[in-house]
Amino acid sequence: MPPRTTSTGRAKHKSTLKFESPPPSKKFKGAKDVTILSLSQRPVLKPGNKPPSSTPRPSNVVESAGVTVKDAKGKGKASGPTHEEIPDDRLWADKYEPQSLGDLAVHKRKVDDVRRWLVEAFSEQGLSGHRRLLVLTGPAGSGKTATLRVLAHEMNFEIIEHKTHVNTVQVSTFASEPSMSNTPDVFSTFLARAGAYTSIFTSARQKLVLVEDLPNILHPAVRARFHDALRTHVEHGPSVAPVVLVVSDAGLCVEASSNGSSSRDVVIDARAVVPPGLPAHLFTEIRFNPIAPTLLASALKRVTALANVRLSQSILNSVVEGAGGDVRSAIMTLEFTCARPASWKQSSRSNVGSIVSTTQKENALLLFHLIGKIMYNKRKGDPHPKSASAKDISRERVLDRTLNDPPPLPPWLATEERRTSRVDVNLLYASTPVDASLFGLYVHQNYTQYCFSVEQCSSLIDNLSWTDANNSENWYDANPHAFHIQALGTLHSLPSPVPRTGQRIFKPAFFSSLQKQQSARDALDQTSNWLSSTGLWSRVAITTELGGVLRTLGRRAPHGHRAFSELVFGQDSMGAVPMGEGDVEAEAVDRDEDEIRETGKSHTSNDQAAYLGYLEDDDIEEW
Amino acid sequence: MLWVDDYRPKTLDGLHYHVGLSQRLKSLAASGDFPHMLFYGPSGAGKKTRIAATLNELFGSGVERIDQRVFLTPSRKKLDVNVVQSNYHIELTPSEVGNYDRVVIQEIIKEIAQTQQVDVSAKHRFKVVVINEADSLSRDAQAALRRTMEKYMSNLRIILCANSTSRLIAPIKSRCLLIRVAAPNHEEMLTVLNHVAKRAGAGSLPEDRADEIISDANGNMRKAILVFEAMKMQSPDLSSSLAIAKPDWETYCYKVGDMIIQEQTPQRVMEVRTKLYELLSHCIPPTIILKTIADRVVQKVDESLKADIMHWAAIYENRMRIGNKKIYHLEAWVVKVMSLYKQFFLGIELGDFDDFI
Repeated sequence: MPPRTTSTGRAKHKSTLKFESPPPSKKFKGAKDVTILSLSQRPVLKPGNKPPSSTPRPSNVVESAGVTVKDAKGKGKASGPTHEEIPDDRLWADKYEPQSLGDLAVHKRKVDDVRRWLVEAFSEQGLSGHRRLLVLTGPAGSGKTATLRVLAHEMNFEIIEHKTHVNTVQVSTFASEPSMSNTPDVFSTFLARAGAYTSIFTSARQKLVLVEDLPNILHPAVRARFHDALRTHVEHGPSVAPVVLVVSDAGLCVEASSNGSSSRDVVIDARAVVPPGLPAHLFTEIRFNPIAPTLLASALKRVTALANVRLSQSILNSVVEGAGGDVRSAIMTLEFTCARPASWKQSSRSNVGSIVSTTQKENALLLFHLIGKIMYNKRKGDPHPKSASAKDISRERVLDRTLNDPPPLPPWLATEERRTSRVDVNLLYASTPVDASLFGLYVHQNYTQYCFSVEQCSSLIDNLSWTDANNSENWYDANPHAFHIQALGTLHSLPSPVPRTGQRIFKPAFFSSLQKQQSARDALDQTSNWLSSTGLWSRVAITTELGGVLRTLGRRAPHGHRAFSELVFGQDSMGAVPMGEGDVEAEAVDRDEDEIRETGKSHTSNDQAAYLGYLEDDDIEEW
Repeated sequence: MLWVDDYRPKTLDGLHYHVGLSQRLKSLAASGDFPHMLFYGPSGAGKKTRIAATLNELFGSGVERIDQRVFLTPSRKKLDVNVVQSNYHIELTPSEVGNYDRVVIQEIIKEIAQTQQVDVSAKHRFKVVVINEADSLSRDAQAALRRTMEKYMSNLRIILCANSTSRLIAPIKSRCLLIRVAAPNHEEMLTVLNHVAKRAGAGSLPEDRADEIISDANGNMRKAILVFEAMKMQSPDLSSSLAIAKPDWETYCYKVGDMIIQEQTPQRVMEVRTKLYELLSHCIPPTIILKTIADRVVQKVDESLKADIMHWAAIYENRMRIGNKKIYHLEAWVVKVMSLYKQFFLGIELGDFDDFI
């Protein structure tokens, strides 16, 4: 049973029981409104809106809540046997988890992909030797595990799940050899056993190893052990159970500093999980996208039907909107929304709105849209694009009416005069998914497409340069205004309106450059060692002066010196990579495809664009 | 191995130029006591050669060995540093380990300072620590150095080697004997090249080739000898052009400079950026990239623009040192030059543009 997140509320109710000791028969009658009452307590964010029937000392209760959970539960258990029916108090997300393919909110094609892989993996011959490792990636709540469980049910195979046991990890003292390698040991033992033995409790013929709980692979030593275990298992061939790794995107947290040796892999993705050098045919990656709104809506309808609650369409829509393609979060919100005190009745829309807004995913604003908002630099009174619908136009009018014009600038600053911006930088800052440093890199990578002249470029890049020089990578002396300076400076420098030429947003080439720099540095060290039999050479001297000699030395020179000495003009190894499918950022891809399919239209151009992994600029505006 | 290393003079008497300096160093070494010293001057001027020769004068020719030392940071990260060691001295480049240079400085100095010279036949009671690239030491490391320089004066001498003193903190400069090693002039370089040619058995070096090499080297003796050797290896009769022996990145930088002059559009900014990334990813120091491209651009533009271009190069170079993302500042300079160049051609009066800085 999953940990109860609603336990605060339950405890509250039961602790009341404890204080006042009501007759036990009342207990389960109360249990029904436990959820309701308790959850009504939760919008702490709205202090003015007290639920009517609150207990005499609510503050006291809330304080003691955390402590009393355990013992309240004990009480519940003690009195449990007197009642036949124990209410299922799991969260809706677990209670109503999909049972069949029809219930699954995941796009059909993804499910088919996974099924095909499983069929091939379990087949006696053919591809089974190649289907040993499957990596399911995608944002949280996109139905990765659910898909697997439903398929297990359908295809009748057993899932052996690996769980990291926290209590087996020894806390090592600093003096001794670091013994963090304990977890991967457990993991390799687990893999070996899972492959060898069959459970006596199931009739399933096939089994599958599911690893959701990864060891701490950010630690290099642990990662090496993990990779070894995985490689051994996978290369064992079809005699052992295939492995499925589930990797949720933990969001983008990239260290954007260029100084020194900060070459850590901070993002857990498929590449970090799969052992390096594993033959490509041995593993498959299937990427899940966020759930399309249409599919999400139907999944929510199913849950409401099962839970026997009735909700208006508008509430459902706002829940879907707020979830950002995360089905688990959407169901949580739904449960929360439904759990309102009876006195609220058909509550006013403002209440619902506030519930939805409090439960909304925090980084609902995606990097993609953040950059779009900044780069399109919309200002008050912009001409409407041809494609804009009447609704958009009226929405913009309403927005413009709320914007106040700043007082005019004095004549000597007339060149700095701009129309009022429609972009609210404070709002962007509140919802930005990245830090100022990474944001700057994205702006830097993409700004040239949105400028008409080098003067605009110059003002923009000068602003970035200034911010970088007046900022620090260390948290304790970082410039707290870096994001604002960058965003406002960028908006100020960009032309208005910006040219619309079907720009695509690219990922910063900065990181690949950094990576190459690191390998060049390794080669440099090698060369430096080679030279050091006669004396110490400084690195700068090697890179800047030795190139010619190394080239003429040919094979007598240390291997790999080309990484820093060879530079051919016109041969650029680092093309800019557009943000696309397979990235954390570009999320709307699946939705587009779905909507096209469901409306039965065939926008080939749009479809193609979505396939290529970038979006037309109009899509950005919709957000 | 390389000619530069093979034919490096070992003694103060063997040095070809700056005879006056050699004399002074010699009498200093003979005087018995010896201050901390700071050798500074452009790269390839012969600072390290002079340091080695001075040590040789002080202690006689000792056995040198090259080691790799491992230092541990407080967070137990291992740092590998190459050192050259003898019984009398240790030479290292702490800036190799970036921000951890303070750890290296502290460890090594503590170690040297706390061990007394036990060899009774030793000429001097002190040991010498040679610190290369002292100007790229972090502030912390310099501060650490400053205290220890006074504290352990009895059994430790420090020789610093730097390109410029401007990045060293004043307390360090005031504790050292400053010795400037200037770049050799044309004749001096010619003498050395001929000497090397003779020692290497490469026959005589034609006058015009020598001139070409020397003017390209721009006072950098090491570079001149390296180019000479590369040319010799390429074609024993030295008939090949100088460009063959030049490192790739220089030509690359020139071409980037030409790109800036050719076109000034946002599109071109994008192209130049790719080239800059390419240079950076080959470990070419950003300051050198900026300097080389600026030199090239300045050669090609009108007289009235030159001062402005260099002015902005200086500003962005400074920001580059404070900041983290080198590419921003390199690109900012490129775009600034483009905009200056374009406006010059449009005939727009820039006026007192610089007053706004």
